[in-house]
This record gives sequence, structure tokens and C-alpha cells, in this order.
Amino acid sequence: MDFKTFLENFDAIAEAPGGIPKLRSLILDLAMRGKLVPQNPEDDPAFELIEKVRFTKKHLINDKKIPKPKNLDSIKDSDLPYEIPQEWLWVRLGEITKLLEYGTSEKASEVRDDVPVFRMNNIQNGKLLFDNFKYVSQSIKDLPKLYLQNGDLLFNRTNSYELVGKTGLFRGESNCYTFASYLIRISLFSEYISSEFVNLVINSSYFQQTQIRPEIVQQCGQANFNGTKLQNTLIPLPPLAEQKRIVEKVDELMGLCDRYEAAKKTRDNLRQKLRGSAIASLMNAETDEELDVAWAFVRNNWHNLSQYPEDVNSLRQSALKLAFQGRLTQQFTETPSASELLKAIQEEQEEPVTKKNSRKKNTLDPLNCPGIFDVPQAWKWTYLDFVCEQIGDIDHKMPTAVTQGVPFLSAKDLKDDGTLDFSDPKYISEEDYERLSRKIKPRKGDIIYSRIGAKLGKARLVEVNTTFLISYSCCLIRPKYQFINVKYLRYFLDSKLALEQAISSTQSIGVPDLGLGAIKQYKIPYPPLGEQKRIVAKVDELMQLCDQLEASLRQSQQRAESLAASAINHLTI
Amino acid sequence: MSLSATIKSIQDIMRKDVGVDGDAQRIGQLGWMVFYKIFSDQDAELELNDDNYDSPLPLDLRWDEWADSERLGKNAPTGEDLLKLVDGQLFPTLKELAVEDLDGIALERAKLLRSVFEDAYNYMKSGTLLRQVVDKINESIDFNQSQTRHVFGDIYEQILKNLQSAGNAGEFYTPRAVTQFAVDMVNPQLGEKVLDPACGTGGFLTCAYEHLKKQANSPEQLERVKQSILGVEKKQLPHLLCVTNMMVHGIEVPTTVRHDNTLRKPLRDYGREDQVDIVVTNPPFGGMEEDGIERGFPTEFQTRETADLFLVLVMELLKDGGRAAIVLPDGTLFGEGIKTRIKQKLLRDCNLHTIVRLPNGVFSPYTSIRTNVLFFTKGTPTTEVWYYEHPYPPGAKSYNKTKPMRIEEFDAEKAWWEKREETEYAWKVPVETIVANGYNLDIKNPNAPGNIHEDPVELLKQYQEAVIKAENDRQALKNSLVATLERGES
Repeated sequence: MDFKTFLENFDAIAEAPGGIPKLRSLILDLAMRGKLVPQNPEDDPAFELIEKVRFTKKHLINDKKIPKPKNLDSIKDSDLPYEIPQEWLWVRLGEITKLLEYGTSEKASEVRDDVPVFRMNNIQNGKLLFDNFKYVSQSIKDLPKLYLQNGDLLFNRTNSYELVGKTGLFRGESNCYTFASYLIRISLFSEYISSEFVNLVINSSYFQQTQIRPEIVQQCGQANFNGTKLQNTLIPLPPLAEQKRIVEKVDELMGLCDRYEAAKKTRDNLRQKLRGSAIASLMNAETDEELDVAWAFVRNNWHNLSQYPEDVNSLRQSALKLAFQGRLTQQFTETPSASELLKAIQEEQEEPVTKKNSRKKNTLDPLNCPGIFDVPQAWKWTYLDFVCEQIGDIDHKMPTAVTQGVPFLSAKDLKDDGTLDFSDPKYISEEDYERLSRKIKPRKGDIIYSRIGAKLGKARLVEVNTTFLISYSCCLIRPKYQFINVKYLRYFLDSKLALEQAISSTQSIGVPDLGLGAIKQYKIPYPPLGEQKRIVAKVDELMQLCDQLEASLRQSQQRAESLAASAINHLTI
Repeated sequence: MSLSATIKSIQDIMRKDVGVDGDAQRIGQLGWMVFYKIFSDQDAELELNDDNYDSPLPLDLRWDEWADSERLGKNAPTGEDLLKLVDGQLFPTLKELAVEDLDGIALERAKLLRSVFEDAYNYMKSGTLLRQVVDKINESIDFNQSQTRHVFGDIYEQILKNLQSAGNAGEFYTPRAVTQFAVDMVNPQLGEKVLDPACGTGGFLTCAYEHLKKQANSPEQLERVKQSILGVEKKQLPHLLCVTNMMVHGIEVPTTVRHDNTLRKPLRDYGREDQVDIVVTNPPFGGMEEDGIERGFPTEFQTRETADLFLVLVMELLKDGGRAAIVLPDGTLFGEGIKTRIKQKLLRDCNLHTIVRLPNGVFSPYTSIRTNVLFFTKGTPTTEVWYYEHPYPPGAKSYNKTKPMRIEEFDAEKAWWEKREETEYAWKVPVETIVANGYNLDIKNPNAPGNIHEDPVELLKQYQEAVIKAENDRQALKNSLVATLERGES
């Protein structure tokens, strides 16, 4: 990606999930390539710095101030990760450090004592946090040798794989703090090398990816990176003046990232709150005027209310709920009315009941079903069982799967887009189909309703003329078509209104399932037929709106994510 | 070496021994050894301070006489000799300890010693390994060191943690913060009897004792306090640990801690003389009792859930005006059927004034179940229940081994306790609501942030401002990047 495209899409990249961390790492990597600040030919070149470091080091060794260091690997051209400006130099970390030391292995305790100990948790985002200390006594044998000095870096050598290598810079009073043994102290020649700069190098993603990750040894769930390896990592070294300019620039840009990140967070939280409150006022509206106001608000702020695809779901559910409260449609006087329809069902039912397969008399009275909330006067509440021909499932015995035969759908084949998925079902043999389908035979116009597992409470209309069967993770619901609109019924079953009834009646913990008994007793708002149809039309329209919104949000999110990834990996400047 | 490291290395030694099989036996072995060590230490102290005290221990069997290898040097028995001493002398003698000539405190202590050794068993078959264990114990557990007393709870933590089967019978180590908080709120007073009918390793009892000890002004009062801390534990091992725990806290003769099952005695057989002023307990939950236990209860309360049985029992064991704090799982709060009847009785006979809802993970790693501390006073019916939802400390998402619950976290509840008002965490529910809800006590926090919706129009304004700010900040970042990089390019 070139710089121009990057700038054109900057907003999308920054807004993508994980966009800001990606920008931060981009800034650091640019800094490490010498692209962030211009080189100045007047600066003393890096090789002169190294000469001075070597000279000072030799003196310190001669004076026995520091031990003689181990030999470092020589640098071959093939080791170099990328090109750097002329004035810079690749050096091994060991070359510019006085000492690399492991921290104290003395047991630290939470009881306040003389010396606070920095531990791996104190290293966050390149900084050291001065809290959650443990303490050791001043008298332990590692002190005063392991007192931290202002400007020391602490490198985390043992942690979980992702966290090994995180490093923080100590800026504070010398000789007051110490550090734990799974940290390595890097003490630099601060007259020639900026600690802040080396801290940036070690925390940059190029360094982590090329110098640390490949050399990590994993054992027993712990990942390790030792001091010898650390000495031999490669550092791109600019002139001292440039080191300082880079640090300053990175600080400035990171500061801007911080501000933007905070503002984004505030904004996103407010949007969540706004959506919650807009939907709540829609749901809680008591008069038609209140409803109109609340609805207008949602309608006008459609795009403010959802920014992420997941946000759309609550809009869907609230639309459904309003539909079942009769608030999306106007009520007219219809014949037959809802109660006439229910009576007709009852009359029709009385005949088969007198036959020999008469069931025990149901104690629930479908003509006087209590409501869950208020519905328009012309509506009634009734039980699901009453408006359905059949609610049933197959024998609870898993048939053997075969490679060809009758499709055997389960809850997983109920797709999120509202359809049934016949593309990758299990198959069962004809014989099994004959045997198992004695109780139920799904056909076009039925509703398949999932009742077990994580995907429970989804209803899908059968829209094809295929012979198939469903596993007992679903049940078949066949409405009395002349009395209830099948799409209306499907919307009801798919809504939270149905699921919440089911959940409140189960007490099971763990994998939930809905019993047929509970499903049959769902209370369903029952408008006259004409209105059912109008509700379906209205809900169809709203659902389509939601689908479009979700799709476009998802698309732009994906685009932004891939843009961000490609910007960070392939930005050419 | 820290205590938990000591325990770990002791367990490692025992693992090598052919006689010790499984964690339960390892802990059993460690249990009696630590008990005996502490008993002997305490004996030495008593003899020093009390001229009338006549130790029930035979001289040559005292811990120091055979265990202290620092003092005995090469003469310290090991190998076959040590095994002979322990199996051939120590156990037979202590099991049959003669108590006839003793009286007073010495008699009580002798009885205690005998009863412990009747139940205990030396599993170890290698004298050499036994010697190593003994030396480890000597190295790190010194009863006369206040620091050891202080961290003794750690031993239990470690022991129980290593007891893999912990939780099978529903027994969990109650975090110190919870016991301390419960006791502080129930606030036992001098002269009141405190009971834990399922005392486990004695967490509540030691807290109650420390609480009362602060109030005692004279040795006589302190003596009475020691007599007023009552506990019952069903299992032998926790009972032994509890007794040891009490001794560590300075109760020389913890005879008030009985090894028994409180549920076994039929409810109707509990009389006025069994009633106490205070009950603090964390009954086992999810556990099953042996068949027939529930038949000791009236038909309407018969259930196999031990937590529910204990709740019924606690109501019975309280005097009129008696106070209780009991830790119960969420299941009891929302459960129906028999649980409903028990809750009905609770609200009718007692004033259930407070329920503190604890977050997940308080009992980790034993169970992640959500629990509650119920506070009630017997004698007056409930009129309203105050709920307090205990939040995690700032920044924490759960509790774990390195970040357990701390007593300071309850400071907010303590401050709220006397001056109650509805807050983000606290709310009040009138008893009528609960009754109308079918005695469901599992009531969600209505004041939790996120439940209150502000005016959407006002929010929209704030949101739009936030959008603009984010846009400006993004633009600033972009501009700065452009300025930097284009200069870099030129």
C-alpha cells in the first residue's frame, strides 16, 4: 500500500477493530527504519558512538567495575533484518550494555518491607507501573548489587509465549527498588545511548518478531528467553542526537494515539448507552404519542445506534416486540375476530377429541389465556398448542449416519440468515426414515424449531418440497393454516418473547433445552388474521432494513480490518 | 522456606513412602503429626506457666524427646528405631492413655489426646522417610513463634488444596475474608454462645474467638469465652485440623469442638439447652448425606440438599433473638419446592435483614458457584430484605490463588451497614414482593449501572459531541503523521 492510499483510508483504518494498536506498531516500525524523523548529516555518526562505548567499557573492565563480557557473535550481512540509513549502525545489544543481570530470587512478600520489587506484572506497554509491589528486606544478599538505577531497562525473560520480551524503562530514584529473577536488567551506557530509544527498539514489533520470537524456548507451558540470546539481539543504532529526536517524535505521536483512543472509547460507550436508552424508551412507551416520539428517534438515528454488526440484533428484537404489542399496525374491526377464530378452533377440535384417541383434558383454557403484556382489544392471548396442528419430534434415538439417503437436519443447519441449510446435512437411510418419521413428517410450510443446545430458540420455515427429517435437537411445528399465519408464527417463535417464556420455565443449568411441554404452553399474542398478515408485512420490511444495515456494517468492518492489516505490513514510504 | 513450600516438600517425601497411599492418607499423616507437635509445644508452655499443671504425656514420648534432631544430634532415632518407637510405643500408649490420676485441664487435654490418637493412624512404613518429615516439621513449625500462628491458616489452605477430592462432599475452605466479615457483622458479645454446626477446619470459630478475645478484660472472662465457642464437624480429618487450629489460637483444650454430625440428631430432639445466641457457618452444599438423615426433619422439610437441612437446623438452634450468618449458594435463593417452604419459614420466624451477594470465584479453586451470606435474627418476621451486591475490587475480574478476596474489600459494606441507603450496590425489597414472587430470594440488582436509562435525547447530544471529539483527535493524529512522514520523504 502506498502512502497516498493509506492517507485516503486513514479514517477507516483507525476505526477498524484493533486499528489503534496497529497504528502504534506502524509508528514504531517506521521509527526503527529511520523514516519518522529526517537524518542530519551534522550528527556524529553511530560508529563513533560505538568507539566511545568500547573505550569506556574497556576502562570499566580494567578497573574491575564490570566483569569481562562474553564474546558476541559477529554480525553477518545475512543477519540484518532490513536496511537502515547510512549514518546508522547495526549492533548487538551486548555491545552497548554494561551488564545484563537476572533479578533477585529472594522470596518477596506482600508485607511492606524496605525494598519494593518490580515483577513481570509491573511491565505494561513499555512502562513500569509503580503499584502492586512485593517487598524484600534490605539485608538480602543480592543487595545492594541489584538495586535499580535510573535509566535501567527491565526485560521479561520468562512468561507465557506472547508476553516474553516485554520491556519497561525505569525512571525513578536509584538504589531504592529491585527486581525479580524472571526479569533481566539491561544497563546501558547512558552517556552515548538513550534508554528511551532502546526501550522503543525492544518493544517494536520488528524486534519482537525477528529477534525474540524465533529464539524462545518453550518448556512446561513456560516460554523462555535467556540473557545470552538477549546480548546477541540486533539493535539499529542512530546517532545519539537522532535517537533523542526519534524518541521525542514517537512520544508525540503516541500521545495523540492515546487521546484518540480515549475519545473513541468514550464515544463507543455513549453509543451503547444511547442505543439501550432509545430502545428502552421505545419498549416502555405507554401512550401512542410516546411511542411515536420514541420510534421517530430510533428511525432518525438508525445509523447512530449501531456501528458494529452485533449492535443490530437488539434493534431486531425490539422491532419484533413492538410488532407483538400491536404497535406496528393499525387495528381495524375484522370478521372473524380473534375470539371468534379461537372459538372456531375449539369447535373443530371437539370432534376428534370424541374419537378414541382422546387425550386427557387439558387444564389450560385456550380461550382464557392470561397475557404477558397488554395487547390491543381486538386481540387475544392463546396457547401455542391450540393454534397448531402438530408439535412433535422424533424418537430420541440417534440413527446411524450414512453417506447418501434422506437429509437429516439438526439445530446447526438453522442458518442465521433465516433459512434452512440443506447443503451439508447428515443423511440417514430410507429404513431409518420410515421408522423414525412415524411421529412427524416435515413438509413444506412447516416450522422447524431448535430446542437444544447453544442455538436453541430459532425457528425456520420449510420452503422446499424435499423429503427430510430432523433430529431431536429440533421439533416440528405445524400450524393450523386457516387460523394462523405461518410467517407470523415463525416470527413469534424466533423472538425473545418465546424464548424467554421457555427459559423461565426451565431450571436446568448447563446446556439448556426446551421441553415439548413447555413449547406447547407458550403464550402467544393472537390478532385477527388480516392483522397477522399486516404485521408480517411490516416486520418483513423492518427485518430487511436490519439485514441491510448489518450487512453493510459487516462489510465495512471487514474492509477496514484488511486495510489496517495491509497498511501495517506493506506500507511503503 | 515458606510454609506452603514446606508442606509441598513434606508431601514429596511422603510420596516416596510405600505405606502412604493418596492425598487423603498423606493429609491424615500430616494431620496427627502437626497436632502432636503443637500439643507438645503447648504442653511445655503450660508446664512452665502453671505450677499445678501435670502433663499427661509420658516423658519419653514427648515430641522433643525423639523428634528434635538438632538437640539429640546422632542420638535421634531414625529408620527402624523410629518406626518401632512410633508404631510400638507412641500410638499404643496414647490410644490407651491413662487418665484416672489427672484432673482439671490436664484431664481434659489427656482425653483430647486420646480421642485424636484413637482415630489417627501412622501410614508411613519407612522410618528414614518419617525422620525426614519430622525434621521438616521441626524446621518450620514452631508454635512459640507468633509468625507461625499467624500463617497457620495457610497450612489448611495448602492441605485442602492438595486434597483433590475436596468438594466431593461439598466441603470447601471458606476464605478468611468471608468468615471475618460474617463474624464482624454478627458481632458476638461476651457471654454469648457461638456455634458453627459444620465447622470444617474452624475458620468461623477462630474468627469468633479472636473477636470475643478482644472484649475480655480478665483471665476469667477469657476462660468463659473459650467455653462459649462451639463447633461440630462430621469428618475426622477436618475435625483434627480444627482442633489443632483452635489450639494454635490459644484454646488449650478445645473440647467444645465435637466430632459428630449435627444432622444426625432428629430435629425434634434438639431442646432449649442446645440453643445458642449466635450461629456462623458455611454448610456443605451440593453434598449428599447418608440415607435416612433427612428423616430426622419434619416431612415438609425433607430434602437431600445439606445446605437446606442446615438452614432449617440453624433456625431451630437459635435462641429467640439469636443472630445468624450463613453462607448459601444461589440455588437455595431461587430454588422451589421444599426450598420454598424453608424460605417461607425463614421469613416468618426470622428477620432476614440482609443478604450479601458474593461474586463468582470466592471459593475458587474448589467451586465457581455463586454464594451469598444471609444474616438473620430469630424471633421477629421479616418486613424487608436489604441486598448488597459485593463487587470485585477495581480492576479484578475474578479471585484466584494469588489474588484472593481480602477483608478490606468489605469496608464498604461495614460502612453501609448502620446507615443503609440504596446505592449502586445496595437495594431493598419489601417482603410482600418476595412472597408475591413465590419466595424467590434471587433478586437482581435493580441499581446496577446499565439498568438505568438516561434520556435518549440528552444522550444523543453527548454522543454527538463525543463523535466530534473522536473525529478531531483522529484528524490531529493523521495531520501529525502526514507532517512527519512527508517531511521524512522530502
